[in-house]
Amino acid sequence: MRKNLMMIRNILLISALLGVFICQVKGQKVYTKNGKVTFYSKAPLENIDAVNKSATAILFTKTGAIQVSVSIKGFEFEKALMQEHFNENYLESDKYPRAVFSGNVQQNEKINYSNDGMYMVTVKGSLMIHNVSRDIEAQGKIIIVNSIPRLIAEFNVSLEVYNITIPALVANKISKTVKIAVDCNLDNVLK
Amino acid sequence: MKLKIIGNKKDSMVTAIPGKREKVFMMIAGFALLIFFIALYVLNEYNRKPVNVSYVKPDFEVTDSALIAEFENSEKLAMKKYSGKIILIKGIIRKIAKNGSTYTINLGNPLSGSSVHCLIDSTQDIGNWSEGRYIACKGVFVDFNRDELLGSDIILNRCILNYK
Repeated sequence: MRKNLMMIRNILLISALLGVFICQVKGQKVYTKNGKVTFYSKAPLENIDAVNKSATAILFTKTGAIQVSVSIKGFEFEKALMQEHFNENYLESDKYPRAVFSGNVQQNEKINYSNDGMYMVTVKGSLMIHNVSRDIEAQGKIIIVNSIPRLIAEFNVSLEVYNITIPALVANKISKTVKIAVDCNLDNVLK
Repeated sequence: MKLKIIGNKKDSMVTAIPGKREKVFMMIAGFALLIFFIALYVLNEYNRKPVNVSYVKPDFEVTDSALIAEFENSEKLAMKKYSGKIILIKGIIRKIAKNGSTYTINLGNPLSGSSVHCLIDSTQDIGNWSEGRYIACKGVFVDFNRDELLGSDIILNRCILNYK
């Protein structure tokens, strides 16, 4: 009898601890400073692609609020001249050094951040590039492995909308929209 | 081509004076050569790769704490000083993170919110480096990211570990 009571007490104790842990996972802020943001543009003159591996992303799992911030100068190109033009002529990175997305994961309550799984999500918010903010909506997925959420999303951005002007000489040979891909493994917990 | 006799007939000197056709030919050849060199320069410039940090002498040599202090004291001045420069930074490894095939090493005092974020070049093997070890690392300064919530970072790209 006493042995059974001890066992029940232990089970209750473990359940309570597990409950506290799950609540913590459900309502925590997870982040990374090693997020990967790539952009790709296909055009007759030349394809342009660049990668930035130092994006900062933070997600509040309880509300689905998300922010991704990236340094424009952190984009690495295969060709140095492309990188110089990108920074000096197109994005003017000295004047506007960062691009920031702030938004929310739609229907966040359906995501169980404490269990492994994959969820197709829509993220809505505001994207600021070149000091211009515009509302955007992106399709993506959240993959949870060992309670670590990984956010993957892809969307297109029109250069004209963000006041990014292409010189007339090459205007017809460079794509007016670029595809942006985000891949952030949110493996740090904000204490 | 016309040949012109200079001086008297006994000790005469024969020199070649180009005619109109030869002049045009020389001009075209010179112009073509100029175009060739311009094209070569443009092609070379177009295909130019970003500088290989391994072979470049650093513009600055500094410790992690000194660099962080400079940015925290005056971000504007520090940005002007280090923008696009190659820095050889020395400090203690606070954290090593792997993202796909890329390693990131954070240098700085673990008790401080700020750190130096070194993105290691994909050609580099981080070998036996571990947290708490003192290293020297050379990379291109990219940006200073001031963040009150997550801690500020000084970002260096294409970093090469200095084994010396």
